Amino acid sequence: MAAQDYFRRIALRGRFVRATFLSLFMIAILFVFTVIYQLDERIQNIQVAEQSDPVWVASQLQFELLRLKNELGKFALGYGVETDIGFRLDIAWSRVSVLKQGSLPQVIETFDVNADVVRDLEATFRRIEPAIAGLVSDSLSIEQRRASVEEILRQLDGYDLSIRDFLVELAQAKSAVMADVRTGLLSLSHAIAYLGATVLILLAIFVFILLLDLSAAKQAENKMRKLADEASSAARMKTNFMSVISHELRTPLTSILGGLALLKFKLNNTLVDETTIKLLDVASRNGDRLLELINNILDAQALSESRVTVVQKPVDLNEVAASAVEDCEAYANRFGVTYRLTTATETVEVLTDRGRVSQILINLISNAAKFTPSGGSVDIRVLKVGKQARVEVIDEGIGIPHHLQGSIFSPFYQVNPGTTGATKSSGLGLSISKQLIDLLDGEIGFNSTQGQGSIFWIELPWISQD
Amino acid sequence: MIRAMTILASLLVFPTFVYGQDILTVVGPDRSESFSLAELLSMQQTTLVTTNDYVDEATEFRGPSLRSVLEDMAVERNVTLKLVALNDFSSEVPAADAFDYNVILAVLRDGEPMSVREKGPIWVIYPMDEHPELQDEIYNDRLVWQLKTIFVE
Repeated sequence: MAAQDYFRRIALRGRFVRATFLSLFMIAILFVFTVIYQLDERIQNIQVAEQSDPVWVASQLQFELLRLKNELGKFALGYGVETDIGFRLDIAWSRVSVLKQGSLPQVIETFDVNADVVRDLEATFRRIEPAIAGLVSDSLSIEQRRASVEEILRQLDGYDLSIRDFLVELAQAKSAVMADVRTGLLSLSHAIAYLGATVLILLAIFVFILLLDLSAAKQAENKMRKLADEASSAARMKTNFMSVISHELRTPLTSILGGLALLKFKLNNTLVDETTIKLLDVASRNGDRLLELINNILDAQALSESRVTVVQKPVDLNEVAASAVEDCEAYANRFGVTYRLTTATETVEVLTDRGRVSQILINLISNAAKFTPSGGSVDIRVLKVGKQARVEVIDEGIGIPHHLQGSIFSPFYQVNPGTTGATKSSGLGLSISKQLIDLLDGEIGFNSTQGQGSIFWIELPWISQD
Repeated sequence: MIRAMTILASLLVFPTFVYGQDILTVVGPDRSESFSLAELLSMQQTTLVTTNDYVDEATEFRGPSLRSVLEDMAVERNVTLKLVALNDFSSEVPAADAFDYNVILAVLRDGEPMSVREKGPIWVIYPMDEHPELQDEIYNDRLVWQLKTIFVE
């Protein structure tokens, strides 16, 4: 009872700890997913920030605009080449188109910077384009060219500053985004640190539970071993006690029975008091029964400890059956029962231990007499069935109720233990017979109908004459 | 036929580069070679349909593969190329790129020559849609437009 309580307590505690552990684990997994999701987001941010740097392209635009103005200035001073101006315009224009196509407009929009200056510059480029193309014409005087260049430069005035402002805004926005990214990365690194800590804690919990389980298992094992030890030592003590008692009982009992036999023999010659003789008979009969019981207990003991050895020799089963019947005749007479022995016409030779087979047969034959009503008879038949030599003991006794037939070979089993007072026995006989026949590689069995009688049989392999 | 006519028509529209004028110079250790637009167009053409950070949508680019130009000059894959643009901007590119990927010297965009204003006349194009690993900042810098000279170092 205590052990059961103990195990239930351990199981309950284990379940609680496991549930806690599982919840912690689920929380950790959620945490991991959040961190991974955030990581993904951060990486996307970094990609946006790094993507085709608009600051670089805008500074290129500023640079190319300056080169265009420089070329125009050189031309106004009279030593420039007019085709170079067209070329510089094309290059500067290409920077405008870079800022207007692909992913850059989106990046600039994300930075929330006003890109009107780019649009305005393109419009101005479009306005000055014919004037620049006109510079190539040879028909212009130097004064006209200078005036034209001055006009073009005047149109481009102010873009230095506005493009610089555009650049500054872009740079600031970019550094703000980078700062965001840095903060994000920092918080992410914190999250990862927490994650690591969580994993470590979970690992610790896991190890702890493992240790807990191990120690619980060890305790349970020790407890079980102790219980098993106690149980087996108790059983051993019990059988030892039985064995000692039986041995101690048998010696004085043998003396008592011997004394009784001698006394009866002497009185038979001198005394004719029937009551005395009857009392002596009762005493010696009960003594015999006691001796049989003790012998049975000792046999059962020996069988259970595998201390019984068998010596197998060729034996004629006809003879064994005949002598067993002879041995039991006196006993059967007491119940007013007669035996009818039918031996086989030929010898039925089996390789077995004569004493043990005899013991089994005596047990079966005396049982049959015991359970047969006075005046009845018991048939004993020796025969061959196939490769088996078979001895059948057929009685017309009380039979064995159907529901009890499964257990009659168990030790201490008795049919109707309370009511068969006159025929009381230890209930060990059939159990011993079963174990002996197993040792001899034979079979024992029975057929029985309640109220009509039983057939008990044993089978042993017979030795072929060829 | 229609395409050829369009090309011809565009060539007339963009007088900056005369059809027969040299637009690309490849400078090797031993010799250098120059190519006109006509010469580049007469080489084996490769067409790439791809996006990059500088176009709004998947665009068709056409031109000789960088590999074929390098092979003509017997350039090994383990050298570095210095790609120089019209505005003297330059970018260093491992020649291995040309052997590992279908990098082209695009001269036609959607079947038409590219003006300087639209990153022409030669734009180095990587097959970024075909190879996602090329969609990276490093390769963005190698998409040199207005290519003028290739120095083999």
